[in-house]
Amino acid sequence: MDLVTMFAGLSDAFTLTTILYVLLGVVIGQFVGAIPGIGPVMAMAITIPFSFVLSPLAAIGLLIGINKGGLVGGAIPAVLMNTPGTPDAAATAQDGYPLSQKGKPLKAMKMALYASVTGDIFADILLITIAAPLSIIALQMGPVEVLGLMIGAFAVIAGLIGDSIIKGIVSAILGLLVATVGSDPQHFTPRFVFQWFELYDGLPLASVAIGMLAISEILKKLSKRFETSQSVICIPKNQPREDRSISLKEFWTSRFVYLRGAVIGSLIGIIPGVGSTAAAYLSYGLTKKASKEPETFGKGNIQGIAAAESANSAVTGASMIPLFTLGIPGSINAALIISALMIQGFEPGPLLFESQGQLVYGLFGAMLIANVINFVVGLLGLRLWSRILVAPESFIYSTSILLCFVGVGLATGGLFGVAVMLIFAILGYVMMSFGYSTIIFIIAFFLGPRFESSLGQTITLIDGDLIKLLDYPIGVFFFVAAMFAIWRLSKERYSDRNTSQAAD
Amino acid sequence: MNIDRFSGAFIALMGLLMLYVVIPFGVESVDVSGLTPKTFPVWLSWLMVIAGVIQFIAANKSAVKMPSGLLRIVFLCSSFALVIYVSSFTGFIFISPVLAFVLMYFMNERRPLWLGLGVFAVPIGIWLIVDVMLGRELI
Repeated sequence: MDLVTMFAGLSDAFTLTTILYVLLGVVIGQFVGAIPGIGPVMAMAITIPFSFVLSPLAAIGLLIGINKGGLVGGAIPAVLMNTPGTPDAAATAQDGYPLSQKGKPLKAMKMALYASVTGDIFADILLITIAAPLSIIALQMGPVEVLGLMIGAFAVIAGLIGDSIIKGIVSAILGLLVATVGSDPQHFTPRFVFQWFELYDGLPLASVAIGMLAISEILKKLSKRFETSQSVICIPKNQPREDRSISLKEFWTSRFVYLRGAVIGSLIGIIPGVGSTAAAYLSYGLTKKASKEPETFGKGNIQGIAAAESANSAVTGASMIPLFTLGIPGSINAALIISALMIQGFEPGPLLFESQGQLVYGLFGAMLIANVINFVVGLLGLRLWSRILVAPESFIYSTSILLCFVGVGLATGGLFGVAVMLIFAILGYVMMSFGYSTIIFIIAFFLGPRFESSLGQTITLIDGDLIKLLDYPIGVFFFVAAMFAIWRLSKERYSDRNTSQAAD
Repeated sequence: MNIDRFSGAFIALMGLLMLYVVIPFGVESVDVSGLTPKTFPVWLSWLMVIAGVIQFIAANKSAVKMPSGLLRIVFLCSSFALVIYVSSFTGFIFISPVLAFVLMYFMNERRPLWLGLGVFAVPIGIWLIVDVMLGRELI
C-alpha cells in the first residue's frame, strides 16, 4: 500500500463530518456505558441500522466511538455504585468503589479515564503498525489455512466463553447452521427458505444481531421483578484539588502500570474470545503482585484502577487486529463492526487493505480521533454521566425496545425483519438461560458463509483425500492447534469443575 | 431432571430432526461432486447429535437452574408479536406509544413525568429523527 492512500485515508478521518459522528458515538457510548445493564454492545447493535444512511467511514466511526466511549462510561457506575456498567469494568470497582467511599469519586473516575485512554491509544498504535504487514501474510493463506484458522478460532472461543466447552461448540454449530439459511454459496440453491422469498438472501444480519444481543438481554432483565427504587449518587462539591484530581506525579508514578495493562490488554485482545474482563483482572492481579504495597489494593489504590482500565481498553483496539487482517472478529464488538462493514458492502479481511485501503486508514484515523474525544468528553462529562445513573430502567428499556423495532424495520425494509428479530430474541433468551453463549452463536453466524466456502474449496483442493492435507502444513498446524486447544481447555474446565464441586 | 442433561437431549433430538425432517424437506438435492447444498447442514446436524449426546452423558451435577419469570417472558413476547401484527395495519409509530406504556407499566413505572417521556416524547423523537431528519420511511 502506498503512502498516498494512507494519508488520503487519514485525512478522510479528519473531516468535520467524521469527527462529529465519532463525537456522537463517544457521547452515546459514555452515556450507555454509565447505565448498568445497557452497555456499548447493545447500543452498537441498535445503532447499526440507523448508520445505513451514513458514509461507511462515518458509520464505522460512529460505532467505534460508541465502543470506546462505552468503556469509559462503564467505569462510572463501577466507581460510584460498585455496579459495573459493563462487565469489563468489574475489576475497576475493586479499588474504584473503595476510593469513592473515601470521598474521592472524581479522582477515581479521572484515573479510570486517563488509564482507559492510555491503554486505548497503545492498542490502536499497535493495530495501525502491525495490521497491514499481517494482512500481507494473511493474503498468502489459501482456503485450507483459512478453514484451519476459523476452526482454531472457534475452538479457542468455545473453550473460553460460556459454561462449558461442549456448550460453546453447540453454540458455534447453531450459529453456523442458522447461517446456512438462504442460497448456498457453492451452487446458489435455496436452503430452508420454505417459500419465504425474503429468506433467499439469508437471515438479515441486523435482525439476528439485535434480537440475540439487545432484545434477549432486555428480556432477561425484564424476567425479574422491578422495583422503582433508585440509587442516590452524591459527588461532593468544593473538594480540595488532590481529592478530585490526579496529579502529574501520580500519573507518572503509574506509568509502568499503564504500560503493563496496555501490553496485557493488547496481547489478550489479539486472541479471539478471551475478552477484556479477563485482561482487566490479569493486569490487576499482576500489578498487585508487583506493588510494594499490595495490602492497599482493594482499599482504594489508584494503581488498581489504572491497571484494570488500561488493560480492558487496550483489548478493544487489539481485537480489531484479527478482524482487519483475517476477517475473524476477536470479540462481539468486533463482530458488530464486521456486520456494519458487510452491510455497507465491504468484505472484511486481508483484501480490505488492497481494495479499500483508504477506508481502512480512515478508520484508523477515526480510532485515534475517538481516543482524544473520549478523553475530552470524559473529562467534561464525568459529573453529567454520574447523574444519568438515576434515569429509571423502565424508561431506558422501553426506549431501547422501540429503537430496536424501528432500527431493524429500517434495516430490513419491513416487519418481516422485526419478526425474525423477535424469534432470535427468544432463541437468545433460551440459550442464555441454559448457559449457551449467544456471543459464540453470533460470531459463527457472521463467519458461516465464509466457513462453508472455505470448506467447499478445501474439499475440492484435496479431492476428498485427507492425506493431501499434508501439502498444506500451515493449515494442518491450525487444525492440530484447534484440537490441542479443545483438549487443553476441556481438561482445564474439567479440573476447575472438580475443584469447585469438591469445595461445595 | 438435570437441566444440562435435558438441554443435551434436546440438542441431540434437534440434530436428528434436522437430519431426517428439516434437511430433506428444506434443501434441494443437487447431483454434483464435492460439497453439495446438503453436505454442510448434514455435517452440522451430526455434530449437534454428537455434542448433545456428549452433554447428556457428561452433564454437570451443579447445573444451571430453570429460567425464572417464564410467565413474564411469555407475556412480553406475546405483546411484541401482537405489536408486530397490529403494526402491519397501523404502522409501528402509531402503536409504539401503547407498547412503551405497556412496557413501562409492566416495570412498575407509575411516575407521570417518566411515563410521559417514555410514552410520548420518545416515539415523537424517533419520528422526528428517522422520518423528518433522515428522510427514511418508518415501518
